[in-house]
Amino acid sequence: MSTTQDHETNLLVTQIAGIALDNPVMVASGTFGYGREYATLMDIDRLGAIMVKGVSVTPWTGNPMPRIVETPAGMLNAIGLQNPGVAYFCREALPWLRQRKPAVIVNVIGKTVEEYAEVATRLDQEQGIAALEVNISCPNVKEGGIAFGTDPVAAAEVVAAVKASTSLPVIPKLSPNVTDITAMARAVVDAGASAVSLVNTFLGMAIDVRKKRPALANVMGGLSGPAIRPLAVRMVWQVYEAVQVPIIGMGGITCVEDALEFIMAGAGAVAVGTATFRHPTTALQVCAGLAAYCKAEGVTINELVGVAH
Amino acid sequence: MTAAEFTTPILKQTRIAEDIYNLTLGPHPAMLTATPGQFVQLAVGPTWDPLLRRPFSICYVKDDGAFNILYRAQGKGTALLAHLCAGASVNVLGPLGHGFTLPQAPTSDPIVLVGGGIGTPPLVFLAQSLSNMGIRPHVTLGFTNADQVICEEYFRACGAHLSIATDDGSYGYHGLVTELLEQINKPALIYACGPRGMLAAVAHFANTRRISCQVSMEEHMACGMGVCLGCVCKTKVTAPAAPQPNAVGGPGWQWQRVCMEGPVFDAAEVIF
Ligand SMILES: Cc1cc2nc3c(=O)[nH]c(=O)nc-3n(C[C@H](O)[C@H](O)[C@H](O)COP(=O)(O)OP(=O)(O)OC[C@H]3O[C@@H](n4cnc5c(N)ncnc54)[C@H](O)[C@@H]3O)c2cc1C
Ligand SMILES: Cc1cc2nc3c(=O)[nH]c(=O)nc-3n(C[C@H](O)[C@H](O)[C@H](O)COP(=O)(O)O)c2cc1C
Ligand code: FES
Repeated sequence: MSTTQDHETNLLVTQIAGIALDNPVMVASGTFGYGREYATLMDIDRLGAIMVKGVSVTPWTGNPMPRIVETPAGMLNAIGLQNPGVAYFCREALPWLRQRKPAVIVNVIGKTVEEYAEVATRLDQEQGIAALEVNISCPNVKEGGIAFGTDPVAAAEVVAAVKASTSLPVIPKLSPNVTDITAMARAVVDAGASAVSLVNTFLGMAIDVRKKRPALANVMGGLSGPAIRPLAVRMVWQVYEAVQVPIIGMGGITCVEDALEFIMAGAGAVAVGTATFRHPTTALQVCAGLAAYCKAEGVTINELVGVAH
Repeated sequence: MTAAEFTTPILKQTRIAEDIYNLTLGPHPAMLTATPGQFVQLAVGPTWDPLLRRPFSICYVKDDGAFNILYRAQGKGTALLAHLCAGASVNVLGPLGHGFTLPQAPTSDPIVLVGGGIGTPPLVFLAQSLSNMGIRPHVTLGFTNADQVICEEYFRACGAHLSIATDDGSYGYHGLVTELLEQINKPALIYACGPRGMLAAVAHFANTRRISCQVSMEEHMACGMGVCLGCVCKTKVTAPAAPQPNAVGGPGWQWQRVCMEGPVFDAAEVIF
């Protein structure tokens, strides 16, 4: 039986890195936990995919407090990738997640190339994971803590190691804290990336003028939210022109118009992050908005990807 | 205990002291499930700036699910909130968090509520719930001066034994609220909400005397739903209490989320 609603949602069906998606709207890593927390508030089965919080080999304790500070139309965070580790994830979070409809994309983190590969190896034994998103914004302990994501050689090395440890599609998540995002994109695609996701947070800081000290215990943190959207859209535009693989676009998306900007700049799918903190159902509203837009315009979502070029 | 996101009208907003407002928000069924010590996250302003919701304790809930919060206008978000009038609508996420644990049964042992400044409002909800159980709590409150004293009438209405301290002696006892606490004969259970320094002092008082004590903690929050890990608080892992399954930490301690496992914690557990 085909209803009007089915027809509308069919306009959103797409594929990223070989993963079939009911719709191109995802929730960004670190802003949706392992999915369960928000499930009481909304129908998470209507999401295209859930990108889970970064998962490491062993538990990471993260940074000291304070970890967040609000900034104009945005926020800085220095959570430090606190997470209970891959064993906990597989035991406690994944069994619930794999029962849900959205594709599960696991965000992989590590402090060495070997750690990334180890997480990928462990996850490769599990059912119900659609892809690995490789968060290359982590500190490279062997290179004095400089992020893998700012060095094309180190980034390619991580991606190749993950690729060799998994049968799943590998989606590197690019850091925007580089002069030339296209060099990073080319490096990871050459190393075997099936898609790229961008952007992660922008390095920033705030001073608490009352205390005459940095507002975050970690001094610097990652900026997210509407404040970064034009920067993120620009990077998606550049990467679309530089590589052939699909792009998952994110950075400050709050509504359907924001999502359309990313799609028209070249993103095949989008992810909602910080906006969820304010309105948990933002991603669902974006999804409904895209369906209505496609219907009104008489197009499928795939026909919109990169149309602004 | 399930949270809802809903938009509701302001039924009333009154300024009750300098920079302190009493806000009545329209009813929602979810609020009828709220327990003392839980909080709501309010989206202040209609736009994405300011971006984050502001957390406020639930002061009390009426029978129809209308509820009140009492807050101090101090920054960007609360200033916007203070400008809203009856009829304007506010988006609410709540009730959230894990509140105070009430005694299993009515008791005649002294139960003491310790409030400091704008930490007082959640104790109103708690005093009402205790009163409904037939318990008359001792309520000790501390404020900077007479002009800042709030909630007195609510505690009197539920029959609490009330004593108030001010820093400058302009109202009630001249001194600290913790000095009032020391004057109470053999407290059996203490509940506290207020500035961190006060909570640390109350926790120390209770822990050294082995008195059961619950404290309501405060941290900056983004999601309020347990996902961002921005609001964590350092707690002791004491055998035989098992660590939270998802918690991480170091030797003898673990992080817990103020918005999920808290805001109310066992005072013996918190590392101040
Ligand atoms: C569980 C809980 C219950 C609370 N209950 C009450 C209450 O009943 N009444 C009341 O007046 N206040 C309460 N607070 C404090 C209240 O949340 C802050 O005063 C408020 O967020 C300040 O917002 P602002 O826009 O005025 O300040 P700004 O300084 O502009 O805020 C900037 C950012 O910092 C955060 N922030 C600033 N101060 C605090 C603070 N003390 N605690 C947490 N976040 C803060 C804001 O939420 C915002 O994200 C509570 C806090 C928590 C965590
Ligand atoms: C609190 C917080 C935690 C995050 N944690 C992760 C993470 O674990 N892994 C990751 O790749 N990105 C993480 N991110 C980045 C987001 O997934 C997203 O890339 C970024 O915030 C930009 O999108 P937004 O502006 O919509 O939030 C985090 C962001 C925030 C705000
Ligand atoms: S505020 Fe996000 S985890 Fe508590």
